[in-house]
Amino acid sequence: MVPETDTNSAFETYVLPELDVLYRTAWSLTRSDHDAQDLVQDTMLRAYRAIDRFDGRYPRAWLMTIMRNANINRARKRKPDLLDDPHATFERSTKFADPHDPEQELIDAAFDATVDEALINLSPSFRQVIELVDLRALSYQEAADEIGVPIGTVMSRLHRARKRVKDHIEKHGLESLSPRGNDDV
Amino acid sequence: MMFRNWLQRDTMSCSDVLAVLQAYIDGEVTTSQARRVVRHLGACIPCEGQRKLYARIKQGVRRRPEAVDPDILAALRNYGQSLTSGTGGSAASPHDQPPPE
Repeated sequence: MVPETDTNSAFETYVLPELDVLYRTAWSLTRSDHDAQDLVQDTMLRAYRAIDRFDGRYPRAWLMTIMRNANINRARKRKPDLLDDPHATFERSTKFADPHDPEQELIDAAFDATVDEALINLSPSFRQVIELVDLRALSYQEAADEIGVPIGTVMSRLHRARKRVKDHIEKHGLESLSPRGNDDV
Repeated sequence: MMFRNWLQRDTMSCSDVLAVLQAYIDGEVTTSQARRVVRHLGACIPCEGQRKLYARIKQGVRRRPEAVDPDILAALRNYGQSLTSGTGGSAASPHDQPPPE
């Protein structure tokens, strides 16, 4: 039996810092403030009950798994006859073809929130090149002209900035969560 | 011999590819470089994994989510703290908060 203080301490260490990402992910799944808050509460409660079995690695990925299960449970409660419906079973079996697959939505939302978190923590000069190239879709030369630096500086900053974002994603164990196919980038 | 040299020039190592991968994703490489990158990625699972990850990051930057209402976060934090304080989550439910104006 894990002492309660350890449970509380683990919860405060691993769960409470993730509330922002949890809420963004829940909102992406539910598209409703009310439902998103319910889902985050449910996720927190489940996490609290399970935290003594959590090994401390990749809390964000662990919480996403909990949220996914909580969300499935909520859907079942809302439509309890879903499981007995052969058409629903068929739909579940072909859900990979569904562009609004909740599981994929969850992964994408967690990924995007983690990217955002990394961007916020970048230095202004690094964030600037990412915004110019990725958001404003400027070429490297256009970005260099805009900032007034050589093109090599833009490339170097961009490379290092994205590497930091990538490291942040990997730190949270999200790189292996099968992100959406991305050939349309 | 000439053919071998041509082959060597026409193939890229993983480090060659990783050096230009971001420029490739941004469409900033020449057609000839792009062709060689594509050929390497088609045969190298780790480099293709890096390409997918960087491309997905680029996509994520474009889809940056809006900031969360601080009142909602505070209410959720209160709820979480009520779990650790032994009130079992029954107190400070976010839905006990007044609706945002």
